[in-house]
Amino acid sequence: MLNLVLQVLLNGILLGGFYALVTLGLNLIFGVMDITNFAHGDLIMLAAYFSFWAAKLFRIDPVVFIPINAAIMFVIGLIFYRVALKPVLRAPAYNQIALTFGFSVFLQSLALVLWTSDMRQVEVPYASIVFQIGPISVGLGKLIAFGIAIGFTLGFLLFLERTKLGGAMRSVSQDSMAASLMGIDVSKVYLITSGIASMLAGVAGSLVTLNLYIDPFIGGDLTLKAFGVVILGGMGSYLGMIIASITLGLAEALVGAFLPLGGSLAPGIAFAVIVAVLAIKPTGFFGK
Amino acid sequence: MSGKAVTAVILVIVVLAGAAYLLMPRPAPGVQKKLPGKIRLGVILPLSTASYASAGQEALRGIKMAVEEINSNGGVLGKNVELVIRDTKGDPNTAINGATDLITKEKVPIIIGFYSSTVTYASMNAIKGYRPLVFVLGASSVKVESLVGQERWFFHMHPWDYHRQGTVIEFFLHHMKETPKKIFVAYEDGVYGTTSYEYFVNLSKKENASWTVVGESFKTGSSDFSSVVLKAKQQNPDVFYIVGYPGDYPVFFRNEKENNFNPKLTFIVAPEFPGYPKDIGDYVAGVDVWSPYLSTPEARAFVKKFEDKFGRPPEYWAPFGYTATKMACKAIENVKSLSKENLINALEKVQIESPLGTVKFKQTGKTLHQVVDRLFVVQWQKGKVVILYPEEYKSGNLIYPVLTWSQRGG
Repeated sequence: MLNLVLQVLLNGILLGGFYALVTLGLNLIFGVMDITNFAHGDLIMLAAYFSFWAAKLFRIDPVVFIPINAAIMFVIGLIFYRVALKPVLRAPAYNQIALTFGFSVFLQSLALVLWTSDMRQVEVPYASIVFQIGPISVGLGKLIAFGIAIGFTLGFLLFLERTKLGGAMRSVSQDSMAASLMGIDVSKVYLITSGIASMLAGVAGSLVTLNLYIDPFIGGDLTLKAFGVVILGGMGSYLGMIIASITLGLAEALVGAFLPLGGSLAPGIAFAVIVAVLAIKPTGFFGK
Repeated sequence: MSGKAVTAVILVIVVLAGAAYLLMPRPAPGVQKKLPGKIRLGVILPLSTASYASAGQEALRGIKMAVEEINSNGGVLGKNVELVIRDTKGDPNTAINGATDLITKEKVPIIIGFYSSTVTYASMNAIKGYRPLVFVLGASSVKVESLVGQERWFFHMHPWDYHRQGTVIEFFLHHMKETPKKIFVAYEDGVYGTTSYEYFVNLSKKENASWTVVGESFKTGSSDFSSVVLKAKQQNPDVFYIVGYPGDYPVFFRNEKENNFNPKLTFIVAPEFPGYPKDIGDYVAGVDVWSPYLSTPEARAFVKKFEDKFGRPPEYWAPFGYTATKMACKAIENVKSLSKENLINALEKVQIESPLGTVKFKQTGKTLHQVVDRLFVVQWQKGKVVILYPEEYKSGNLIYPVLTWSQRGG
């Protein structure tokens, strides 16, 4: 029984690590621009397709492709800001929601037209290698995804704390007007934030191809999970986001493994945890 | 004008209209109305925004292949066949609107398509008042069969639940060297998975099967099924039977390996979906309604043509769509009519050679018109599919128990 519990806990933590990376871009856009990007999961889907085609056409490993994918997605993020986000920066929240939701549907339709709805997966032999550590086992694919996800998440937090640009982003997220008066080019910060958020989606997209089948509709579920994590952790809080990601991963794993019909209940129970936390602390773990 | 005069005028108009109708020229019995310039077939499938759009797209590929072939050979009765396509988006309301549109506005003589049981049930319920001629490709739930199986206008391609589960139980009971003692069934929690599980349990009892069945539901499309796999591992079953959708299976296989779960056999539905990773999908067995590895000339020709066109073997929805279209066109060709009653009569008699074998409609269970009622059991062995059942198509023996993950290396 103890072995089972350990295995379930490990599975939950690995899942949570991936959720953290998926959520990072969404949290960043919300924290800095105060916009909830419902197309974030679809940007991950787009990046996953780039990774798939790089592997299929040029035999580039998804992990090796991460920097290229991140660069491509950074540029897409810049274009996304110029074309879509900038015009609605000062618009009412529901206009912003309509825009990002519309962009989500557009990306899905585009992927459907370009690549059909066939499910695709990159075959990387090492993704199926399994390590046995005492009584518990762990797949290399998930371990790589977890390691890169945690690495990027922590690296990004360091970037926010230690760099001038990161400081500017934090300033704008706290008070864009004050930041502007302090000489920070807020518009430029917004532009780069959109690029970085999309770049993080690029990293997540590459990792998705290691462990999952992809189709044009995988983004919806990822957005929903990321949205849940952001709410649970407190919108805009990075520490809260990490704790919420692990909480969500553990909740899904524990409910799935130990409750009757847990496989069906897990997604619902995970969101019930979110409801329960919000009932006690409406701003989430670390929201203000 | 007085009341009497008005009545008289109305009577005269009615009499004249009646006389005109009676004197109107009409075809003698057996002579059909003039056919339109093109033969338009209605198609309704999930083509977007649904997790099972891949099946809909695959069926459409088959339908289009059939239409291309027919048109390049002179069409039907010398007329080109044209498709009028509607996308259900996997949504019952969209499907109902699309089907109603095909019936009332487009006035197509036959509608080919439908995929999921849930959407088909809702659609049939909504459009049955029109008594439209439909050729349903999918929907295996007997809920659909109970609703419309006895209708003369309802034609059905896919086997029903009881055909599939009956085949699985027949195989486990009589075609394995060692009958499994415990079977863990992981089933998706929609109509398809739940009904399949119920049928498996009930038919196991009916057949006095000695095995113990343990069931656990899961949410299709999840990114991780480790929890279900760990539950199964605790039960230590001989057979791990998964009833899900194509995208679920590779995730299960990987989770089995990651959690070092080694049942004697992993058994799934539709194991021949193209693209399962060979490293984790080997030795998986399953029940399928068709196999691209069949050796009949029609199957070989279809597979080759499909591979030339799309660069991979077809999944079974493609020959389903292809065969349904060919059967419908053959019926129109035979009866030289698009009228519903004539077409129903013609479809009841139609018989063609197809990638599915020699096909015709037969009565089965509560269904008047059923095409496929026999399924295959196959197993992946070193990256190739081996047909295990039925005996007449058998191309190899079941590997059981399969190698454990550590014995396979990696």
